[in-house]
Amino acid sequence: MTLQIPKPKTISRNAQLTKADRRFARVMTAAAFFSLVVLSLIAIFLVYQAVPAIRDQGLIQFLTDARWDSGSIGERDSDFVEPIFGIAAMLWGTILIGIIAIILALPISLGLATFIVFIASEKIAGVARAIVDFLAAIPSIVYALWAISALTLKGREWGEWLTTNLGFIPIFKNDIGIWVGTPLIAGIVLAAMITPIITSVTREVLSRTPAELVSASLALGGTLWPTLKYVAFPFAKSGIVAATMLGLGRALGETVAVFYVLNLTYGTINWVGIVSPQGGSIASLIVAKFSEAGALEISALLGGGMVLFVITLIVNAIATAISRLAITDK
Amino acid sequence: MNRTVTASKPWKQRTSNDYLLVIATSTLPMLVSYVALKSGILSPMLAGLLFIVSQIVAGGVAGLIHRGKRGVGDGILVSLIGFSLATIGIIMGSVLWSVLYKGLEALKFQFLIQNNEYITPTSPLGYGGIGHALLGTIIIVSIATLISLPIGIATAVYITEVRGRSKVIVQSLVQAMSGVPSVVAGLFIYATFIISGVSAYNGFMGALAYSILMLPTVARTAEEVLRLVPDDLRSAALALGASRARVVSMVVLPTAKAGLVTATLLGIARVIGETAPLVFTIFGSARTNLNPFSDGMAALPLYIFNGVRQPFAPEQARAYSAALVLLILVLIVFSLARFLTSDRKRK
Repeated sequence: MTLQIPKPKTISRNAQLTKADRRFARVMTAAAFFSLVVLSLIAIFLVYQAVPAIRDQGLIQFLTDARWDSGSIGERDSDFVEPIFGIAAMLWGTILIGIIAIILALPISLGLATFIVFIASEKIAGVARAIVDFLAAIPSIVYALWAISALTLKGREWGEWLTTNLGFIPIFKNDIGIWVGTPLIAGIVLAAMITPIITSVTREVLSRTPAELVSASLALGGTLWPTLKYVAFPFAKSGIVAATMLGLGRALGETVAVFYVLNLTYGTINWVGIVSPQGGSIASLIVAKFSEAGALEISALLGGGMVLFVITLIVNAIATAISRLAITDK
Repeated sequence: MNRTVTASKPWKQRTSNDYLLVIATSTLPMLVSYVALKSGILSPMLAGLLFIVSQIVAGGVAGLIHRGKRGVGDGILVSLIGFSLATIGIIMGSVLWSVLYKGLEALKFQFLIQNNEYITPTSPLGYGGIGHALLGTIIIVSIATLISLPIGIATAVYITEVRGRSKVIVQSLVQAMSGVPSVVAGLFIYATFIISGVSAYNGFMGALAYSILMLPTVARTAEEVLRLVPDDLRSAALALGASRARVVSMVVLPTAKAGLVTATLLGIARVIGETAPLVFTIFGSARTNLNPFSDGMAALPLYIFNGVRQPFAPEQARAYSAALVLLILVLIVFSLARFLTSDRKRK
């Protein structure tokens, strides 16, 4: 029989609180809900400022049209072009590069986390952890410079190789003949940026695998792979999914690193052509168009920001929900 | 085979055959691919593919020889983990190298203290610098810290000390806030204050955007740190008749001081290189502007962002040098944070 230790009572439910304590609790509560205030303000103000554009374009068209044209006023009436703002191409482009990033980053992160938790000696694991954490701290603008100066050159070679040798597969098709500014390159930068994030969460989860389960598996003759397959990964499954979602959330919202290496194409949606220089990214769109935009276009850009905000919020909520479920399961 | 059982871990014993196996497995595939590449049989891309495939196969074969059928999975796994280590190593090396290689050219003492006034993108490297941007970054980050630190710590105190009813909700909110993309944080400040004419572009707007990004990092790290404070201390203080507020302010927070500094540093490291929020808020400046409430302000990330877009070599070199400085700043902040954490653990 185990000894039942009574849980300490919480302040707010404790009847014997002094006035000062109550005031203290109230102040802290108010501060704690500051994040709620900020989140709601973000939603309110972005929606409020996006309303003119969405009213002008219609919500459905805004979300489903791939064209983004600020319009023009010519000398003759026939030169006048009605502005059209649709984010479909950018929206799908964002998701596409996010998927590429996850596909590339997840196996590497799993390998790294496994290495740190199950293979490396304590000292080496410490060094590896420090490196991963440092990589996570490198600013995105530095990754952007890396992407411009080093990765683009390699990415162009890889893309060209993929098209010439595997071009019959739709995803490697490239009719344009340029391999710079492709979703693949943007995806690789994002993968480099989110690998440390996924790794550190996965490591955290894997290291919580109960030691007795691992020992039991080893004692039964299970070597490393069976131990991972039947003990550690099932245990950490939901944590790994949550880590992936976190990484995806980061990838979807990344701006500057993508801005320099992805060629934004409006008008058509590039569904799968990852080595074709036709990409989209809402965050890059916002930065690219912001400085020259008129009032209506600014409003449309803020609408794009709102869509991005909602998407990342959903992705992160899924991540949180999954990790919470995982905690309550055990 | 008759092996005597000794107290030394028999499963860790290595024979010379084992070492031979390890050496062969880790060098042969590389050697074969290299020869294929140099002799011109395979293009670089195919040679790379050959290396990856043959390394995986070699891992499996080595496992098979070493442990029989059950070793195959392990062998392949070790190969794959080796690849992921190599990949992350190459990425890190390549990132650092690309910034170092191009960034050292313009990095002189003058570069750190001069500002960019009267400097055009084609001005030679001996003139101009990032002094204004460094000061701007320091001011903006300091204000952001002043805003987000108290709120962040209060949030952590609510979760760990007050333990109110909505603890889980607050945790989820903080989590959700940490997912806010930096570009959205910038847009939010822009949409709220700048479009509506409440404020012009200035450093303070940038600091507000930064504090949105910083708050969740500070709150979450502080929460973890406060959890480490032993409950005995709290109980002891309460038993001595202290109020909850006093327990927090005089026992819990001082105990976690080093950790809270770490939380702050991690928050700073999180935002110091963020570019997107600044694009919409601080406008940038070539002059040194120390007043965060009026006129545009320069900051390192924005300086890099604008510099690297210029097609002129000197400006690009300056941008890379600024990136190097930024990276060093991040490294310093980050190492400080780690140093403090390890110090705390030793006690």
